Amino acid sequence: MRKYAIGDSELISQYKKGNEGAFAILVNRHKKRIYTTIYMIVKDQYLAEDLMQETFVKVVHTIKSGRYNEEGKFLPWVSRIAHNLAIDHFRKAKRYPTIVMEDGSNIFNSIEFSEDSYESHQIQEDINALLRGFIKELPDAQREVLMMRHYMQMSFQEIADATGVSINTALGRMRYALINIRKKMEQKNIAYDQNFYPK
Amino acid sequence: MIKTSTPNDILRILYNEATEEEKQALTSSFLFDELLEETYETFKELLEQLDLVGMNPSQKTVDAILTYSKSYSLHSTE
Repeated sequence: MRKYAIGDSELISQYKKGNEGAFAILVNRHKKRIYTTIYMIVKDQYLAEDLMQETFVKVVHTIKSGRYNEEGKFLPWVSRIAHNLAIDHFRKAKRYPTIVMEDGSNIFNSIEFSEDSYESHQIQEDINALLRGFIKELPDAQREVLMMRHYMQMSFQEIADATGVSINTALGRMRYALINIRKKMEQKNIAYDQNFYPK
Repeated sequence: MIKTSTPNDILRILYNEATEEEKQALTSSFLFDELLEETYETFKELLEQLDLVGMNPSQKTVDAILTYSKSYSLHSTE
């Protein structure tokens, strides 16, 4: 787990006192995991963007009205809001189309260009898109645990409580999720330890 | 008696949910269980890869969230 110089609790305290900069740090710190949680459920970029905003409308309202009481567990709390909103939308609409480019690839926004070349960045993006596909293909119970533990940062005990299973079952589902992803990667010849060149 | 580790223990260790004793037990288990060590390395690499899979929302969305928060402040202090 990454450690930050200023913890979430401190940032929330500052935000409650009116420090909007503290809120900006919180949003930027956790936007990736929260957005990924939403996207993996709705599988639609534009809807995910809307739900991301809707999630934070609730967050802002809850904190600024003094009703936030989960200090130290900001990300799991926000992720649960995002998760519930995404599930609600998914249930209402049943199904959303996946947005694809003309070349058949998914639209992925906000690519964080670094010093890497466009080509190497594109290779990594392709790999990431494949992995996202593997996650989507997992059995529901396995994908749920993976999303809750890795992106929503809930503990295995919290996942067990939330899904009504034992902690060993939650751990087992996570283990099988990883094993299944690993198998799919092997089938696609995706290597870990050098550059990622899928065949 | 030496406690042996299981693949489930590996996950708890990788996610910092295990005790120091359990971490030491895992290291000891590696001495006589190569498969367990291989599983540890595989899971560790996979979890690192999952970190890269995450997607970012557009800057427009982030800006909208921050603007909403600021306007909420203005509204509430009027």
